[in-house]
Amino acid sequence: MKIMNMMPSCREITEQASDYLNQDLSPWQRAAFRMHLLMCVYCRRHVKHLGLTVATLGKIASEEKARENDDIQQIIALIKRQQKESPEQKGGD
Amino acid sequence: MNQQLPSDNELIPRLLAHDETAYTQVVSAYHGLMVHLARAIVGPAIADEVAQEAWLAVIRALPRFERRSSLKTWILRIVSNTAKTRLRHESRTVSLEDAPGEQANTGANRFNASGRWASPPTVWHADTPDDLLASQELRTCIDTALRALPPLQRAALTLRDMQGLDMESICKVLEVSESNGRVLLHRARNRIHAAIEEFYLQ
Repeated sequence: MKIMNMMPSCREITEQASDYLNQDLSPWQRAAFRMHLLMCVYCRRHVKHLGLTVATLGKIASEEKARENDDIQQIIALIKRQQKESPEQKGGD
Repeated sequence: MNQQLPSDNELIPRLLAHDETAYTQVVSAYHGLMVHLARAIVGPAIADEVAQEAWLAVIRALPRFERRSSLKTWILRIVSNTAKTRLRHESRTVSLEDAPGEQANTGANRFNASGRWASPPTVWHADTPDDLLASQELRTCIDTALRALPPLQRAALTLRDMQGLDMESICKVLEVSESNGRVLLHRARNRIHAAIEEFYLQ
């Protein structure tokens, strides 16, 4: 068994990195992926940066969450109006 | 935000009976998410309008909801479809899926013939999201990259990395196959990653 032949290339690592972060790789793919990372500083860096990118997007979203509540009353009013206008809704998509 | 929402089994009959408390709970739980999704697909200018339109469609369609997915996923799919329809009306030529040009940071030219790095990633002087976001310039740069994404890529990225949905729900919401959903997310992440990398190269 030539283990190196089964190892993903750096290019393949970049193609699988997003699935790796999602834990969507098969156990075998995941093992080979991690093996490659152990040996390759550039791919380690690439995956670390991608993870940091994802974490940063989450951070931006959590900052935005503060200002969301204003519209709720407006939507409830809209829904009530719609229900009053047509209490026996059946069709439409 | 999602404070103790009752189960779908409990909520749906109450919604059908026009129970106002139930509506308030559902709107409080999902409206913010709906606006985020609408914004990802149609942009900020008409996102609120699309979310409102989607609520009306939800009310109309609820009696025919077959519960093959969760209420949340079903509502978000209505938002997604409302937004896509709107986008097609507004700009007939825009492609939902993709824009031309390969990702700069994982394009073929960064690797040699055997698939090894020819132009390896450079070091970023940041270890945490807070380090990155400390720079107002970099924030602007990420924001610009987000706005430049094709709508479906931006929707996948928003739902997964900013709103925390699982991939299975995201694929149902956007009506794409599982593999297509993963590709959308992969491309979107790469574009934002590339924008940050470019920022550090300057």
